[in-house]
Parts: sequence; C-alpha cells; structure tokens
Amino acid sequence: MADMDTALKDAMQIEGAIGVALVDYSSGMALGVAGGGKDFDLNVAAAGNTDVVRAKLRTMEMLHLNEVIEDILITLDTQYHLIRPLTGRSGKGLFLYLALRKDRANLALARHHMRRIEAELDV
Amino acid sequence: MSETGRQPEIAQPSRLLSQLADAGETGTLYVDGGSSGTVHLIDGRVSCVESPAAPGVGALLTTSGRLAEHTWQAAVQTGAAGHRVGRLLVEQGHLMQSELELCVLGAIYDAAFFVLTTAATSVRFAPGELHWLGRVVEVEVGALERETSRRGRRLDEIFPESSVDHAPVTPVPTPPVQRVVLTAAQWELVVHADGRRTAADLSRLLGRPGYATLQEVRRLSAAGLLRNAGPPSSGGDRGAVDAPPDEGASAVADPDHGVTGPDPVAEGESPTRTRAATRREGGHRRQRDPQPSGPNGAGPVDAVPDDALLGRLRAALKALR
Repeated sequence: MADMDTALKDAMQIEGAIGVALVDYSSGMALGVAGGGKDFDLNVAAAGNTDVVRAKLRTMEMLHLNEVIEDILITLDTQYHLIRPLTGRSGKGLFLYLALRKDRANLALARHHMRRIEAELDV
Repeated sequence: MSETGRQPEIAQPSRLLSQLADAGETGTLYVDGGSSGTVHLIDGRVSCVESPAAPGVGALLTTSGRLAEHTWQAAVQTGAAGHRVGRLLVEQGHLMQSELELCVLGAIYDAAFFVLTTAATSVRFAPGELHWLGRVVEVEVGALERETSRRGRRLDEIFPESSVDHAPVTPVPTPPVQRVVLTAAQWELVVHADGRRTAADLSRLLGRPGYATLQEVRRLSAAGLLRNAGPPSSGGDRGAVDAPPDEGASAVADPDHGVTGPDPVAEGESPTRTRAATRREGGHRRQRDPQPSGPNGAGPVDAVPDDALLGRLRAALKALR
C-alpha cells in the first residue's frame, strides 16, 4: 500500500521541502501527508487551502476564463506554498500541496518535480 | 451473509467501533437503521466502509468512466471469493496502485460520514468476515471519527440547515437573484433534482461522493436555488429503496421544475444522464433505468452518438499515451 506514500516521500526529497499533502478538494481532507510537524499541521493547511483553490476557480468562472489551473504559488516571508491540482484521468478533485523553505528551495526545480510526481501518481 | 455473527445489540456505531478497534478485531460491523451500512475491520483498522448514502468503489470507478462496467464485474466475480478484487485490478493493469488506494480511501471516509453519525441503532459484528475488495488501505478509527466530525462542522459552516440532507430537493422556480453562477457539479445537481430525489439518490445517480453532494446541496440551498421538496417519501430512510422506481415518472415532470426553461435543461441533462445510466446497467447496485423521456425527443437521440463518439475519442487518446 506504499504507492501513494512513496509519491509523497518523493516530494519530500525536493530541496527545501517542509511538508506535502495530497488533498481531496471536495471535502478538504488530506488523503495523505508527509513531513510537516508540530508547528506545521498539514491537515489544517489542507482544509484551508481547499478554500483557496475554490475561490480561485470561482473567480475564473466569473471572469469567463475557460482555462485550468496548473499551479498556484503563495510566497510568504520565509516559505513558498505550491498548490497543484491533479489533472489525471480520475484525479479530478485532488490537489498536491507543497510547503518549501524559501532560502533553500529552487522554485523552478520544485515545480518541475511536482509535475513529475503528479505524473507518477497517475490518478 | 454469515449467520455466525454475534447477537445484534442496540448501540452507537461509533462507540462500538472504537471498542472493536481497541480489541484489534477483524470482521464486519453491520449497522441498521436510518443510514445503514457496514464497516470492515482488519486487525482493528478500517479497511472498507459501505453506506447506501455514498457510492462505493465500484460505482465511483465505473460511473466516472475510469473502468468499464464489465472489467469491474469480471474482477469482482474472479476475486471476490479470495478477497482480492483490488489486487486483481492492479495486477491486471486496469488501475495504478495509488489510484486504487486513493479511491478506496475516499470511499471509506465518505461512507463513514454517514455510518458513524448514526445514533444508537441495531448493530451486529461478524468476526472474521472480510470484504471482497481485500486489503488496499487501512484507516485508524480515531482518524475516521475526527474527520467525520470535521466534515459535520464544515457542513454547518456552509449552511446550518440539515433538513435538506435527507429530504427530496427541488430547484426553486424563480432564482432569488438576477444572475446565477454555478459550477458544473452544481448544474448537474440542479438539473437532476426533481423533487423526488434526495442528496443520496443524486450522489448515486451522478457517481459523486455522498459528502461532496451534501456540500453542494447545502451551498445551493444557502444561495436560495434549491429547496426541500417536502417530507421524504419513506420516513427519513434517505430514499435508498424507494426512489429509483420513481425515476421514470419524475423525468417527465422535469421541465416544470427547470429554472431556465425546458430546452437547455433537456440538452444539458440527456447526455449526462444517459451516460450514467449506461454505465450503471448491469451494475451491482439495483437501479432502474432512468430513461430521459423529456418533451423534445432530441435528447436521447443525440445522446447515443455522443456517447459513442466520446468512447472513440477516449480510446484514441489512450492509444497516444
């Protein structure tokens, strides 16, 4: 049963990774998490970021932007948060959420890795 | 199924489940009453939950078009006896392991929301009885309970009115605002809410998780677009048993409830409903064919080539991968 866990552990190998979660967008529940810790509750982050994705999708609907979100980047003082909705065949309604340390992460490389991990999950 | 189970007793499902988990039990917990269902345990961890209010793994995979109905049926027939349906699907290359895990995990939490929120009712535990799906993922009972209560709170944040959860719903004849923006999922719900179907009926029909459907029903109610159509036809039984036979008649009544006139409703509805119906035929769930017998005969006629075309496109795209 390690397949999803493997993908998440893989994401934790990304330079500067703090935590990663695979989130069900309709319920806001983290189906799987890796990393995180006492001061970074990935389950809370998952639920909250569901609202971010929903708000963005709604805005796009209102603007009649008929496009899909590849990823959403949120830049904090010391962290990057990267949200990547899954586009696979039955993966509609899931997104990957990755928190990175800003001083150690390479954003372009991290996005590249996320794309690869998504392909491996193939959901 | 098994007659060897322990005697039925009256208990709160979630409390009994915690006790079984603490004891590290393996077997199946049968829950009767309003939201009946089954919880399957392996060594005190939950491996599968089923509820009539939430589409099962098979319904999710086939209604979405991910698996062909016959592929699923074949796997169930071959693997059920050995409790290895899940493993079989992966071994035969129909599904990725991670895909199956996510689907089962989602279905467990979805069904648990309905089974665990049931008040004290008749429950029975059958020790040693395994689910035919087999061991795919396991969830701790504590995590299941935490998530279930979080989901309950989330639902009330959206709209603190639970009367629309179990009752048949219907679109309001006149929207309360000049301009309405709906997501695709909400549109499908509005189109299929005919005043006879409950949220549970809609989730089965559309192959969408039960909790996700409840959320959208509450959102639409909060927006004043959907309302309780009256008392449930079967005493709060979530309409699991009696709703399907009504579907033939309800389809005729659809245009009366349509918010935007019969034409767009019929066009939006026919392909979706026909597709859902096609996938469901011969499914393990008992479901009468919801034939869209709309007023303009164009719907069903259009829908058939549409479906075939989509099938060909999908096959072609898969070949390219």
